[in-house]
Amino acid sequence: VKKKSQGKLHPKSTLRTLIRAFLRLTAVFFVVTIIYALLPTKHQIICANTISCTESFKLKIENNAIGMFQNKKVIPPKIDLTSDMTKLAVLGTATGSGEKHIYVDLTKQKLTAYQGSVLYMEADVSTGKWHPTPTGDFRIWIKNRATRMAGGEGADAYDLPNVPFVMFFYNNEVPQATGFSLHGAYWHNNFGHPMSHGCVNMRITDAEKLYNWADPATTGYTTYTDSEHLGTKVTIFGEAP
Amino acid sequence: MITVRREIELLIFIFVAGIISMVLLSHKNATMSAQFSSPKLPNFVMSPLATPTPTPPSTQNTTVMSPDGSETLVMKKQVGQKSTSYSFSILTKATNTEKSLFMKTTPDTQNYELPANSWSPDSRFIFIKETTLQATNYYVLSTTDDSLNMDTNQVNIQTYFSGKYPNYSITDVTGWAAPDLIVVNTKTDTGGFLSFWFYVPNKSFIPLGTQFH
Repeated sequence: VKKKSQGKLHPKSTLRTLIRAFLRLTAVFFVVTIIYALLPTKHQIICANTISCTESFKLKIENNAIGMFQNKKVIPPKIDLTSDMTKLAVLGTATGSGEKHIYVDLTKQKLTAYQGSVLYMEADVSTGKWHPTPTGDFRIWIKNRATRMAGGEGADAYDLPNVPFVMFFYNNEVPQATGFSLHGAYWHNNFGHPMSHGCVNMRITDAEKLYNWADPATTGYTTYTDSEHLGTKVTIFGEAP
Repeated sequence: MITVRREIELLIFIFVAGIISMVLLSHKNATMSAQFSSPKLPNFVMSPLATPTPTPPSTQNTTVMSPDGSETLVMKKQVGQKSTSYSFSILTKATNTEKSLFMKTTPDTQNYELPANSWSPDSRFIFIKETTLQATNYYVLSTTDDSLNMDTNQVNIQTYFSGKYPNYSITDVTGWAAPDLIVVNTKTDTGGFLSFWFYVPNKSFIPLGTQFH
């Protein structure tokens, strides 16, 4: 009998080996799951402008450059900084009292700006279509008169010089480096419908009005916030259609 | 005996690891959903005060500013007893001059609207909406002196579309995706939805993979 069983696996021991292998695999699966769960989540929010990213935080005026959006050439508006500063001095920013607050309703694709409970302006916007616009409470941390934004890939690639009136916002979950902003858009006119790669697009005239009103009060072509000059609160809510 | 003990240990390890991973995963999901959940909003944002609708006067002016703010598209509507007259013109801010685009007198059952996204991003074209008892038409007009179609400065998107896609009907034309591309939303006879771009220079339609509804 002993001889006969030599070289052949006993059915019971085969089953036991299989069960052991299964248990070990399950253990490995759970260990991997634990490691995945412990990984930080912040890396999942990619930069809004995947190519230009932090370069977009710098002032960049390129009046002779050609832009590209939806595989189409677009001509950016020319920006004259000298006349801009004169305009700013005339316009001023005072509108009333109370804290300034910008609300972006993704469902309605609408922006409203309040000082206290007084409505300052209302405008159609275009939020994320190819990449979602993050929701939550944010604050503007830098205002840039114009910059270049580039990103996307394939048919959705874009490269846009002279993006006007840019107001970058952030919070703890969506850090400054992710480059989400409110800004003017000259390459499309489909406001009221999602059309961006995560930013909040506005008509240039609306973006200018908001830029001149929002804190920090504009002091130059690029304005940073500091502990004494906080940026206006931005609340983004709802769900894009 | 040792093998049995090892198996029991392994089973306990798997059980504990399973519980820990479930707890961690649910915590992670909660954090992620909190990151993208809607924040609390004051009442005035969610339910703004309704503005009373004024009684329309017999002459109404509707305006839409060009993207750069330098020009204004003006639609003047004069309501008569049995017909309505429309005139469309462009007002240039810098020179304070007005250029007439076209005029039309229509029966009461026909009316025109200026969509908020009328202007093309480069201000070379505009589109307007016409509603009749039979159909809704969207016209693209050139704001320059360039002719768009057979020596006229306008194109009816509906006419071109129904000729090329008889099984689809236009539900909305929302605005401009680029200086010469208009977003056209449609639905099929079977209830499906498809968005197109209307390419103005060629008067052609480009079906889109993404819906723009």
